[in-house]
Amino acid sequence: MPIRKPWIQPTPESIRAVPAVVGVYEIADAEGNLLYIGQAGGREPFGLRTQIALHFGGDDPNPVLRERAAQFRWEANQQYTTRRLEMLMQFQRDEGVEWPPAHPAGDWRDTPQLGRLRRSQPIRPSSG
Amino acid sequence: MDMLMSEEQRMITQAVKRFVREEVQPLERDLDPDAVELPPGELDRLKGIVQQMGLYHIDVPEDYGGPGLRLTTRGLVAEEMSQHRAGLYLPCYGAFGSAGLAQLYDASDDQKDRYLHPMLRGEKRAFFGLTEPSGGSDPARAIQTKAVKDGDDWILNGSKLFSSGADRADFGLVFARTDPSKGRRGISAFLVDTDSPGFEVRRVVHTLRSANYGTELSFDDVRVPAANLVGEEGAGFSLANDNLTRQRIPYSATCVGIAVAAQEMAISYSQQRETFGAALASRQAIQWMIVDNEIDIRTGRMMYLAAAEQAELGEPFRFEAAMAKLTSTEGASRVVDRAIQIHGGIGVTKDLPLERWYREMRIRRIGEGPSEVQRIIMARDLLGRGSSG
Repeated sequence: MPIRKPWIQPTPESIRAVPAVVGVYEIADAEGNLLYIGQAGGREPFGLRTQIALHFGGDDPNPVLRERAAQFRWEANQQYTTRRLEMLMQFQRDEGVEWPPAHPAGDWRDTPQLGRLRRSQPIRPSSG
Repeated sequence: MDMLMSEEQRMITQAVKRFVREEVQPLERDLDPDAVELPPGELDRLKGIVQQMGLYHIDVPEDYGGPGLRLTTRGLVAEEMSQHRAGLYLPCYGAFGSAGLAQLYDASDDQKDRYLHPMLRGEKRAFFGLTEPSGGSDPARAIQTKAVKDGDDWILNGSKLFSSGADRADFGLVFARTDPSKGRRGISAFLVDTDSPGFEVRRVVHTLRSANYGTELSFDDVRVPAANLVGEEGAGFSLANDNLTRQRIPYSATCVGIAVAAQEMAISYSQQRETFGAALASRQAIQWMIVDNEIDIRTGRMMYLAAAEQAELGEPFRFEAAMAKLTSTEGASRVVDRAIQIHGGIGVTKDLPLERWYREMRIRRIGEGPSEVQRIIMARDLLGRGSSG
């Protein structure tokens, strides 16, 4: 299932309020369209807070996020690796496309090897 | 230990040890602590090195292109392959190739053409569907998935739990009850294509481990051709059981490998770290932990080698395999736990691999038959209630 929380507008206060723990997060554009599913792993200095702040600092190396990222939501989760894979697989199943829009514009970690939930459903390649 | 190895075994294990330390461990320094895959190109590069070593497709029989290692050598190699952060469930990230489903070597020629050979060529991926929500330790009774004959086909209905890789697989070996009145002799094995209507990967099952997550599967009137029945009708349980017994040997050796790596870290840290003006290693409490670690490591190793030798001799080895599985998983769990204790606070951080080993090792006392089932297997033999083969 996706993260069941309301979207949060990025402000210095709201980002400071993100806990410094490992977990997963989603980023959407201003209309609430999902752009990215990310994880804050064990090497992030301040976990989710560090990782989410990077996307809203104005210099995100991912061009899709730099231009369109407008809101976020997060979930603290020790099993962030498998949880993120699950969320990406659920996105494919529900949306019928390969990746959320910002993923193909990222580095190799943004397009991990995925399985498929409900294999019989065809998945369309992302247009980028 | 070294003196018990043949020259060939010594050369192979040394080569694998170097490979892990020089090629695999350095990659992990830049990866997330829970990483489950390598950067692009790295796995292919590692596979190339393994192929040059002559150890690719390590679990594939020689007749099918594998290196044809003796089971004792396979155990010793498994012990080396696991000595890195992801090594318990993802030894060398798959650089030694996958054996896929060992049961398919007993399949018909037609089934080998359609499933085994494509699997060995890397064109098809497979999963193993045995455990169900109703239980996994006693599959003869717990399997509720049913297969009913319908003309030339079988119709499967039911569910499976903890099936690793089913979400990426092209087919699976699925065990289903074909005759409810016959107990373990009423279970048959079927090759099921994952694009069959009615087959569904329902969810990822999150557990303590980072790699090889399980999935929950459902079968809703899945039609399987009769040509996909593996072996005889009703012979599914023995097909599963024989291979599970054999797999307990590298499974045990992998745990011993993690224990060796944890012990190396514990010894090194105890010699460097000072408390109250002296190295930790000078404290008797620490010394005893390190000695107890070594006893657990050597016990596990002796047990898996004894089981492997018994199997190589063509003797019954179910008892020995159960003892190896029991001692190695429980012993390695203790070793990792003590290594964390010796490291103190840093031992439970994601800076070190110990916390991942601690989590994932906990599953090893349950997976592939929990400790209690291993004791049941041994008790049956000791008390003369079953054959030991």
